[in-house]
Amino acid sequence: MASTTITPVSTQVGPGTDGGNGPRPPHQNNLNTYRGGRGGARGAGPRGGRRGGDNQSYRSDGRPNQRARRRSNHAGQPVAPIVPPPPPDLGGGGSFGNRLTKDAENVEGDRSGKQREEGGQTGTEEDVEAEVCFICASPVVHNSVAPCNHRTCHICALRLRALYKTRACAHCRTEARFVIFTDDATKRYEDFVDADFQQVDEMLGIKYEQREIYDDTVLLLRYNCPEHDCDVACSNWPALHHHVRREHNNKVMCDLCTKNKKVFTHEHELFTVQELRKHQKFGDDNPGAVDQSGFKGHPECGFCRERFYGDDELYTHCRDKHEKCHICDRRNPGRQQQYYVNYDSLEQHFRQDHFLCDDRECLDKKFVVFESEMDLKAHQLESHPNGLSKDARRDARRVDISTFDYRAPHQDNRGGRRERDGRGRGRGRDPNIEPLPQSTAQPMRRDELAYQRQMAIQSAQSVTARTFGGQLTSTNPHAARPNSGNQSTVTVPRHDTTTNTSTPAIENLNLNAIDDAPAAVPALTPQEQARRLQHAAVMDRASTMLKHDQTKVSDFRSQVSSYRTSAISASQLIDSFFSLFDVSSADLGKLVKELADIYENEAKRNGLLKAWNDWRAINEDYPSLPGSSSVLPGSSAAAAGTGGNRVLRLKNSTAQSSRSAVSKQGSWGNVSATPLPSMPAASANRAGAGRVGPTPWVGPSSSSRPSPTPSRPASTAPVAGKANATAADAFPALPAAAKPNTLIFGLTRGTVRWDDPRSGGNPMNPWGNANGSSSSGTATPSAPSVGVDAEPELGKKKGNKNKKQTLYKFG
Amino acid sequence: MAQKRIAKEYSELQKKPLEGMKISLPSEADMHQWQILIDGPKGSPYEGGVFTLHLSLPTEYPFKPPTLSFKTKIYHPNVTNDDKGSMCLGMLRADEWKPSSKIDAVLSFAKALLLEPQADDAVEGGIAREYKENKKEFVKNAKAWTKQYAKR
Repeated sequence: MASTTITPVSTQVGPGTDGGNGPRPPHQNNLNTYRGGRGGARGAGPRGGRRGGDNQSYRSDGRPNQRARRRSNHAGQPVAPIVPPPPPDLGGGGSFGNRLTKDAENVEGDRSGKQREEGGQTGTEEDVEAEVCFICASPVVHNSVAPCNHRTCHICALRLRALYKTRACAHCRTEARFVIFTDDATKRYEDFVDADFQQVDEMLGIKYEQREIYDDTVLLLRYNCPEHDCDVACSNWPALHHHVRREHNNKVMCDLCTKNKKVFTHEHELFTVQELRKHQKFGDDNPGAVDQSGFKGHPECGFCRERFYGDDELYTHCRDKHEKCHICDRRNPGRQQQYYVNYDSLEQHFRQDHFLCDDRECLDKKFVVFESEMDLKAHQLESHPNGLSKDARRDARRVDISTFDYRAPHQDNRGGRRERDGRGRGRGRDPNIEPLPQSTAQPMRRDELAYQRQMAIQSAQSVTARTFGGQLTSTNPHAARPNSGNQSTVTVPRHDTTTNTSTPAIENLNLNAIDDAPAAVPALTPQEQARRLQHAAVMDRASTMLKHDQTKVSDFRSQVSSYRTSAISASQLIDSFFSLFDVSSADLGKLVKELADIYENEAKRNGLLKAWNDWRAINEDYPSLPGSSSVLPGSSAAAAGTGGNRVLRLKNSTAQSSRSAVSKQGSWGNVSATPLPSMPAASANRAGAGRVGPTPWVGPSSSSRPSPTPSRPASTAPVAGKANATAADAFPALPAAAKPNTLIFGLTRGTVRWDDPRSGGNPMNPWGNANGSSSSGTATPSAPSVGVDAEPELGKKKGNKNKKQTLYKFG
Repeated sequence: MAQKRIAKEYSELQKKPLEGMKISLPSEADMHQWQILIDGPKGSPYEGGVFTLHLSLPTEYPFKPPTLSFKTKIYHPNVTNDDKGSMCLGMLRADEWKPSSKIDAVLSFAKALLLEPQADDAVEGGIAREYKENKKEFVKNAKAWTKQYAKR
């Protein structure tokens, strides 16, 4: 950029642009002409004088320098470059700290204002940019040059490389294996030769032209205490926490910030305990302060009472630990995210609002739930034909056309529903003929059924090429799975409940076997194949974690192979992972362990695992500052000596950011609509989840307010894979046999069916019913329906039926 | 880091405003939230209207992209027709964002998008289809909305 201002040395500009010599009397100019010329070539006078001359800060020398130029211009004294530059006065080295201090102390406005004023004179915009980093708008202390010859300050470059773990240029996104940290403001990347570099950091991909730049850089990566005038650097996060607490009046750091926020250690904030609470809950809003950050606090999971760094993290947590209803989501993609605390609670919702297959096997399988009764019937005919009597089967095949309604899709849902309620009573099946088998009729109230059917038709009309036959075949892969040997006993629970007790165990076994299958396969196949599979798995994981960034993946490969060939030590390998991956240490741990498994060499494997455990033991799950651990020892002489003063200056120079940079992820927009997932009955259900209690499914409050529920480790929430086991655990005490079938039949048949849908809801729920009859009373199960009722109605507007296969979209 | 850069860009934009745009801070204390009043560009169906936009700069700006949304309802393929009014700008996507991109570029781009919607990159499929297949109807609708929602 500055190259545009290259001027012949012999012109009048030459001496004028000599930086750092401004204050000197003009007659000294000839001593500096050569350098002056160089300065001119750099286009940024002030920078030219950086290393030469007096101890003046290069930032503050802009003004005298310009004055000097004007003066010499007036003198009109052409000077030729005769005298070679004196060996740099080495003021730079000695005054290094001084310079930094001045940088920090200088009022930015003063300087840049001046610069702008002068800008007109020199006629180059670049003059301004050479001084102020384009990216962070702070004064450039050292330059970073990328192969694309784009420049930033070294802090921005380091931030991207060490904290954001990206090697992309801040200007053009070009990936670069190396950047050069230099004090030369104009030298092009390709003009540097290896001999120019005092230090090379392979891990961060930085080549340092000056030792002092290296020291400055390493300084940033230490675990510096955030306290403004404390120069202590700790060896790791826990030590820093300890130091802060002990030395600074019990101050604390925000754990979430230290783990997630992409700032240097000293840029974090210290809080008192009260401040921390406020910070986490409400953010750092401080009306009237100049350093408003817009940070609004760390969002909390209403189920677990656990806070997360940002909405993205909360979203990930909810996705992994809690459940969502795929049917509701599909029907209404735009709505607010709604979660259920665990599968039990989701199952309750399925029962209430959708068509859950009540077959024991399907319950264990989970997510065997349908959007319409018709689909459920199809599933039952296909998967559990033996459970139904001949009559029932015939019945199930019958589609009750009478309730089909060809109303236009745009009708008002709520109104329409009410109307149908009324009509439904007069229509439909004759109540005197044999009732539908419960398996089909149970999960929904009559009016609901009718409504569902109508919706099914409507969606059939709007969704092309959906046919009944297609529905049958495409229900889902599990429906098509042949029943295992216990067919005769696998029945709809209420028909044949006594014989049912043995099936869960068998089913669990089956499922477990299936779950284990992928892991078991390698063992069965030849060793080589197994190894290859593992290889593929590791590479797969690695490239996923690297977001399929090819350069990074190949970096990863080369690091791993250099460990294999003992070119680097295990701890170096771990360090390099940290500069490569931008993931939590838990994820990285998985990768390391998988990787270790591949090594056939026992020593290598153990070495890697040991290095990993060592690292983890020290740093828990804090982010590492790449290089800090491995680089430090080498540099400790330099850093330790001057570190104390320097780090304070450093803090000054980044002071602004340390106060302001309370972070919020840029991509919050995606999920910003859902600061907290709303969970109506779900949160409430939590209390009874997995337990057989007097009020098993009933939320104390069915409102959408997340109710304060006892927190439990989120990790125990069932996740699809291992869910089978937990499900069995969760429902152990409900022997289906205990169910008084007659009662149910009675209810379904006579009273309930045409009754108020509310009370009709009861018998649908076998669990609820069992409980009801055994303990506290049947009133309870109906309660949730009140709360949840309204929402699904809205949701039913659009059914997208032909996506049946996505039933198992989970995790 | 964010503060300085934002302050710099803000003062630059105050000094040299973009044509047809007025930029202000809803809350003086919070540099991260900008309000932009943008005149419907001449020759576009939005001419004559004035649209309020909200620019939100993350604390990690410029390393993370800002987000831009229309507070005024607008009939446009690239603006979501909901209460968020999110504008789809390629350069604002996390994987395309460059820390060197400046806000004036973002705003200029937004304005260019008003002049020439990018139907292939649309968030409102229906409007995009109409724009491609039945331009007349699109212009009519856009004008009507402008009249209704973006009155001066």
